[in-house]
Amino acid sequence: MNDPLRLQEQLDACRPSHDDLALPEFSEAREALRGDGEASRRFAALRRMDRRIAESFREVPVPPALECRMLGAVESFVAGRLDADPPQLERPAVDPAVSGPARTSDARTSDARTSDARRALPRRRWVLAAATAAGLLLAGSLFWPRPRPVTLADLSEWSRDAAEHSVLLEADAWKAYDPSRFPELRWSPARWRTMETPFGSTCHVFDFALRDGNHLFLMRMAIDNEVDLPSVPYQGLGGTGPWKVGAWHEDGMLHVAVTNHPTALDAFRMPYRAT
Amino acid sequence: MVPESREDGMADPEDDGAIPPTAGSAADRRAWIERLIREHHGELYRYAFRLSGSQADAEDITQQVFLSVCGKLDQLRDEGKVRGWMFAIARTCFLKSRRRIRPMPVSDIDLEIDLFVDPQTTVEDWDIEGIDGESLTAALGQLHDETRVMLAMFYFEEASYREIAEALGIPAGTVMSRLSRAKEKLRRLLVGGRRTFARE
Repeated sequence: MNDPLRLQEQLDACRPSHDDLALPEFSEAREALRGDGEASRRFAALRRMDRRIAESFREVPVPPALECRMLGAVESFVAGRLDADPPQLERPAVDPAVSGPARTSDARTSDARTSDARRALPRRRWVLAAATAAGLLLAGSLFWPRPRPVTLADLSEWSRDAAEHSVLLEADAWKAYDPSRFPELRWSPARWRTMETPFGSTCHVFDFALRDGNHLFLMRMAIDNEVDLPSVPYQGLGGTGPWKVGAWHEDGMLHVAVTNHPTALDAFRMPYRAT
Repeated sequence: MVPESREDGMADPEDDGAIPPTAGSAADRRAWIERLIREHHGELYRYAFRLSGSQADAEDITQQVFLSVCGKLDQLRDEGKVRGWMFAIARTCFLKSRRRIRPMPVSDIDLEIDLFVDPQTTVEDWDIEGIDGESLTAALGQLHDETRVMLAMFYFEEASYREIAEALGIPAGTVMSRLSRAKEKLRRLLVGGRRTFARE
């Protein structure tokens, strides 16, 4: 194999506790090692390290009470979900040896008690299930993440972090801008991508790569959270370092512009949408 | 008592006649779940800790896995895959939890590690004995979430690159490249060094 990078990739794909090198797809790597003692020595060192790393992956002390906590945590859930026996298991099990006319009154009395107990058991289960469901609903209402108001400080901090992150992203993280996909954009950005926000939404990030090497990022998102912002022109959110931030609402979408250019943000003082 | 039925010491309840969870009575199913917890809580916690780097997060993820298994038990068709299923749930829980706290801090940004490699370091300089759980925790903490997921699948689950590709929905060739880069970064963080073969 003439390509050392490809050789490295193939050998790195071999698991430390398996003989993956014997697989047909690694025949090239196998041959390369066979004819090169130095490479074989390096591969052996690689395997030793992989085994040590694999061991270290498992060197995590487990909290002593974890098992009890896990059992306790699922107990109510299990009680509510798993106690619902399949229907055929709820049918009274009648002993064929005492069924029919030959059954005694004792047997009938016993059957009645058993039947009462079986009727009571599902009732208890229903009560337990209902109580569990009510508890879960209550817990859900308390802990379910509800949209909270987004402060301008939140927005400013997040957008500057996102802009700095965007500058350092590899080129293949971006998509080429397609004007037909975003007809509402007044200017043509160089590229775009999607990004998760901490506000429970996904936003579009448009990179207006500026000629002087600076960037202006426009982030558009639909969020449920309340945020006190005007429509255009933007409200400046200040910022630290080189980044200036402006944000506004338009057409139900939150827009944030972030730039490290000293004056580019002013471009967004004019109505953003094409008229 | 966890049966030591696998070479790696991990429990494998399917190997010793476990009762099928969806076929038995409620009592059987409950017993099966409890047994699953007893036998796998430690392994899942370790896995979750290697993903998250946090004891509290690892415990949360472990609990979410068992609750998910309880809730979706009827969907389990192949009991032989329950261990992999739980790992997959753990990965999903981890990545979801991380998405909620985005954006990614600048310190997490995946810099091109080759820029910082000491050109003098070779395999002979690797201090393998110095690698332990603690140093691994520190090293993993400097890697991308997605990179940690891939490394955990490789080192902890002992998944092949093809299995990783299938689980993550990525082409096998891409996984091979990314895995190699991820391992290179991890090696660099643990002991220094540079590409073992690609340096010429």
